[in-house]
Amino acid sequence: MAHTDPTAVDRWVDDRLATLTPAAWQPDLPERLAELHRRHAQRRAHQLRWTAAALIVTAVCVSLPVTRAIGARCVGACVYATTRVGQWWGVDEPAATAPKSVGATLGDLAPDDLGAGANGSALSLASLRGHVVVVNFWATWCEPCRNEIPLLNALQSSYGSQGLNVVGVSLDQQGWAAITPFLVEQPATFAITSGTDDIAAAFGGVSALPATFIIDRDGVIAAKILGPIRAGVHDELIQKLLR
Amino acid sequence: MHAQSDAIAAEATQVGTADFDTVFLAHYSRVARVVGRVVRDRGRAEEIAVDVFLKWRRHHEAQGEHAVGWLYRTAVRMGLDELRRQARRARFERLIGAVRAVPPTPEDVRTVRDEQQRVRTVLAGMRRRDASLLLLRGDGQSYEEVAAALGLKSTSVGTLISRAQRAFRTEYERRYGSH
Repeated sequence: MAHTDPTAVDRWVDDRLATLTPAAWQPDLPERLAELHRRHAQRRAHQLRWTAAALIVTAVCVSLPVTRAIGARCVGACVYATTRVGQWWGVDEPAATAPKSVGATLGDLAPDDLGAGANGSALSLASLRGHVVVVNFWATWCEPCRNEIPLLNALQSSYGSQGLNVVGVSLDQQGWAAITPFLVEQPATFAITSGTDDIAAAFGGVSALPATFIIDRDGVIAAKILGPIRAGVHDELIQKLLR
Repeated sequence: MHAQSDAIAAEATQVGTADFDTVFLAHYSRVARVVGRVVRDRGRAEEIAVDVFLKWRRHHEAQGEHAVGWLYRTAVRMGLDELRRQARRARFERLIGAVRAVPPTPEDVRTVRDEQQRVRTVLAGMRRRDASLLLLRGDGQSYEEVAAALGLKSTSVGTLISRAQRAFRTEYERRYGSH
């Protein structure tokens, strides 16, 4: 290579770059400053015009029902298109919005049937939608279940005003014939129903009593407790669901 | 002269944007000359220099202690962009000329032979940072000023300039042969 000497390269390049140096040249400062101010003002005026135009168009669009309807359709079309594109690309819906199936495991929608009240009217979970529901399967002959009743009373009185409903589903074979005299001895301040084996099966076949399900405001099973509940253990979860 | 301009600019940036005019008056001539090294037409160079200040006024983050470096960096970049636009336009016009079989004018021939034009063509074909380094250094800026303008470490500016010079010579000789 002809240009291995660094100093020679420096000089060679400097000589060529020196040809770019303008001869005596003094820009017209006042004129250019005036141009700068003029262009800046033009730009500001341009921005103001566009802002005003955008505000006027927005106001017109928002105030007229026709344009509002068109806007809503446009938004709907965009949402639809986005959803379709997501489906084509195999993007799953977020878990929170995906339709859930009815079942007895955590995250499933809880079964709707909660048994019948003393007057024979059926109680459904759907009628309690929007509330946090504690479904407790019990029986009059089950001692741990009986011991649990004061705790459930306390839950109902503590959180009932915030939207908690405790439902005790009795699995006594004799139904209300067994429940009514029991409640005279051991009053319950929460709803009591008489359930069937089918209801127990829908909740996963309650294998032992007591069994308790905590269901959130959307009807989704948030907790499942097999065996007696203990005071204060589930308060934190209930408070979280009630928020 | 430069130290005095910097002092005026520093004072202005401390006071705030109200002294935009002061910064302009302190630096416009030099910014225009930096652009003028790249762009042949002086009127166009002055317009680009005004654009540099308009852009600076819009960019709040460019104001403050790094304002001077920002101005020269932007001036060099806008100058190089203009140079590349001109080079593209010239290529396009040559292509059109070839298609139409229009013979080159004496002015075209003179321009191609012009050393200034050759240097500018080579700069337009180089990496932007290398071209910026050469232009700012050629403008007489110190290593510290070049480093501040291009966001480099001042200790590495010397090495980078040497590389840029080698790249310039290589590109020049590739286009026009060795002299």
